[in-house]
Amino acid sequence: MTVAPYLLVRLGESLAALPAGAVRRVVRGTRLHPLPGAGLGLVGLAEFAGEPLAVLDLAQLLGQEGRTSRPPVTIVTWLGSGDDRELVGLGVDEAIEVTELDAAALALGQALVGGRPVIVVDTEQLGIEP
Amino acid sequence: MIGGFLIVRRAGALWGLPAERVSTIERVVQEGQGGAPGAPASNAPGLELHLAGGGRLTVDAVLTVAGNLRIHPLSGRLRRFLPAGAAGLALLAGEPLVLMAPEGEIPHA
Repeated sequence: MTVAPYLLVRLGESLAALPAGAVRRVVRGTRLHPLPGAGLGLVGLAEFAGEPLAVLDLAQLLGQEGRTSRPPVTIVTWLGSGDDRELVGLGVDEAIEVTELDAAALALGQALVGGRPVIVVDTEQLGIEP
Repeated sequence: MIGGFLIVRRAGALWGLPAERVSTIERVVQEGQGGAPGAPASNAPGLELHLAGGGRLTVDAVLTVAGNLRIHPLSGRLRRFLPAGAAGLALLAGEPLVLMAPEGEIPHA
């Protein structure tokens, strides 16, 4: 069995796992600038390493209920691949730990961690309109 | 005005308008704004931009004209999250801002 490291995060009552290799930094208390007129799913804009960073609500991207408050933690993550790769912020409630998941979990989109269901996020496809 | 982006604050966010779109900047009074919740309305000063080709836009402040912003074009992934007419993102003094395309409209709060 092939395993890969994933960052386990909490989204309200749900758990999700992001490929650890796509994660650049976990930031608590990011200074967010809300943007009037922005689409659902954009929490706001921030500055990261001297560059503008769009911060998206991971729960909303995964089709879960939108939040009413700003997410306290931002996971700065690479989305896409190759020339299409870009750095975005993903707002979550909590970064829990790095765990190892079966590589097949990514294809399935889900896994079990400690008996709890976890949404396994495909960062190459996340945010692309179906 | 000449090239670059006119950087304005509107509804708490920073926006960059192509400077050639702006023909005049006029100080105006925005009736019924500026008071604390529950307090009587006051007449807060604001600025009105007269746009070349018609149209006006009220903003809270005009900050500067920036001619050498490092522009990050919007990807297809991010475009749907940003207001229509947004062309890219940039930073000004560490604060992120949205650059509007020449035909773009800054949304209301």
